[in-house]
Amino acid sequence: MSSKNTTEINYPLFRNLGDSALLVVAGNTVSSKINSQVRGLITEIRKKDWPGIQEMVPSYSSLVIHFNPLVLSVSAIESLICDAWDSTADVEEKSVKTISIPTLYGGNFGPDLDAVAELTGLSTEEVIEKHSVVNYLVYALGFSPGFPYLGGLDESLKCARLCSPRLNVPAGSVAIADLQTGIYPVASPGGWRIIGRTPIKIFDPLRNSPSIIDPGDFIKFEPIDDEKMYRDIENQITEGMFEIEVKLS
Amino acid sequence: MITVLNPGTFTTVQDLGRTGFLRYGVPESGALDKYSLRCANLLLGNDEGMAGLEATLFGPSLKFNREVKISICGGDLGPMLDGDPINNWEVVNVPANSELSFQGLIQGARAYIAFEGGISEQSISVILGSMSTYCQGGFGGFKGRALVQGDTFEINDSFHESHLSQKKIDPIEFPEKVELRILMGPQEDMFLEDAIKLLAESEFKVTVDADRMGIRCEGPVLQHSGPADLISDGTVFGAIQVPSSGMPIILLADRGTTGGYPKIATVISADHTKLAQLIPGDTIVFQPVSLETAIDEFAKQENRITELKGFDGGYSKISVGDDLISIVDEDDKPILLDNIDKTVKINAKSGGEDIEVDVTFQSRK
Repeated sequence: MSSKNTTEINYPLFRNLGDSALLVVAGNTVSSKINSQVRGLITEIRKKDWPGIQEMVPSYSSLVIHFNPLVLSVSAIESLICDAWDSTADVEEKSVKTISIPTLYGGNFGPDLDAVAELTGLSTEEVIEKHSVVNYLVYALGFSPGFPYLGGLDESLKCARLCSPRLNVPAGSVAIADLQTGIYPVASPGGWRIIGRTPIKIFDPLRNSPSIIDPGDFIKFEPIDDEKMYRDIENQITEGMFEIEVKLS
Repeated sequence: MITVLNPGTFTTVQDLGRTGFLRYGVPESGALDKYSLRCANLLLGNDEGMAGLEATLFGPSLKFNREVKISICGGDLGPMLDGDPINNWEVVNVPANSELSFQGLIQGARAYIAFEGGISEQSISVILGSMSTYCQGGFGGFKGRALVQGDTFEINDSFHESHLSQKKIDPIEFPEKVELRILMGPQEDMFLEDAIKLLAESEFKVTVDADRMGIRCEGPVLQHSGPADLISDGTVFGAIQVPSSGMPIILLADRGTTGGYPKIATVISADHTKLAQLIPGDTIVFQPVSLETAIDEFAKQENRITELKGFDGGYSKISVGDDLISIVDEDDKPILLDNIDKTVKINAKSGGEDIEVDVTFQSRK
């Protein structure tokens, strides 16, 4: 409440999220730098291996730490964050994973591609080019299991959500809305504009690590030539023969 | 084998939920009223976290083809064995070829049916560390859905004996008007001061939009001081989020793991049971409390569970002055204060500073 009167806010801010979780606010903008610091804090807390820490959930510019208040006090966690604050700011991440997502744009697989071209005044080829040239940072996963919030969409691709959401968006649909782009991991209702689809199963609860994507990874969409190639990849995935391309840098 | 003759309104397999996957957008799921499920299991000598059935409003009819001990805790849905009423909160012996059914809701919303030995992994697979059903995601529990007529599942043989000498626990009452204690925040500063006053001083009604994801309430409009959205951040069970309509939604176990609506307050852990047992039409009064009270009440609840497990003692809260502190070992690792049965000398940490305090722990025997 006092923050309204002060021009400069000193981060981190600590807010109780009930008695068993702490919200650590690292900033108030969507920026890769703040997002990177959030992940740095997670690494520092993990190093401590404290038994009372149950789960850590990063988002764009904040972190929720779930803990057992009968084992660990809020002040102990706060002082740990404060100690790690400076060393996690402006740090180049050591290894960055870029995951290639083969995507068939347009047609039945991307029913909104033409509308997006019309709304943005671009050709469909330009939309595909602008969408697939970027390495998108995964700021967080949420909304539904495995749904990646990707930042870095080209401003010229900005367009509003559908007026009324589709009742069923197929799994693997690649979509855009405002300045965001994402992949629907499972079939669900959705109001984003679908421009393509990937045969990759980015989320599968039956795998030990259910999501192939982690917060902090980068996603690169690789255009697929035609439906035949899409089906080929799909078959390889079914047979367990497809290897997802992951670049480490 | 147990056969579902009638699934009731909405009956799902639930344990204490999934841990470790919130960061991938997978909610914890699990029993909404974890305390009642834990009680039901402990009555039978089961591990407290074994999966049971969460029956909502109208309970299921189940046919047992062999003798099994069961217990039913939580809301009172009027359980009957072969047509005769049976008690909640105690061990009931179900003979072979008998039928468990429910006559109708008496109080609360959800009953937890636990089976001695637990539900077999042959019937319900463990997905991401849990048997809990997550219907929106379509996984966990019985084929990722609520039970339907004709479903069958097996119960494990049990070799455990319950620690409890009396095979019953004092029932919890679930009135239609409840006081839910809350901790303000994390985003109470995004609301008008009037809204904070209204939250604490008004009555809210549970609407028909009440499911495992959340409970939508109706009451005076809680006005934001500015825009009603924020950069999405993590959510917890019991968080009270307020979208632009000004009507609060209390988030539960199947909630979205992140959200962009300001959260004015959060229901304390000790009141999750009362929260989980609300039905449309019930009345809520929110009562702000301090963090210290919230932790005290949580410790009391956990100590009751510890006692049901047959242990004396349990959690203690330790403070130096007004500061709650954690007790750490020489590697800075917090020492679990659960079931300490020895005298130890330790150093403590307060506000980041090492302090020299000799503390002696003894169990309360």
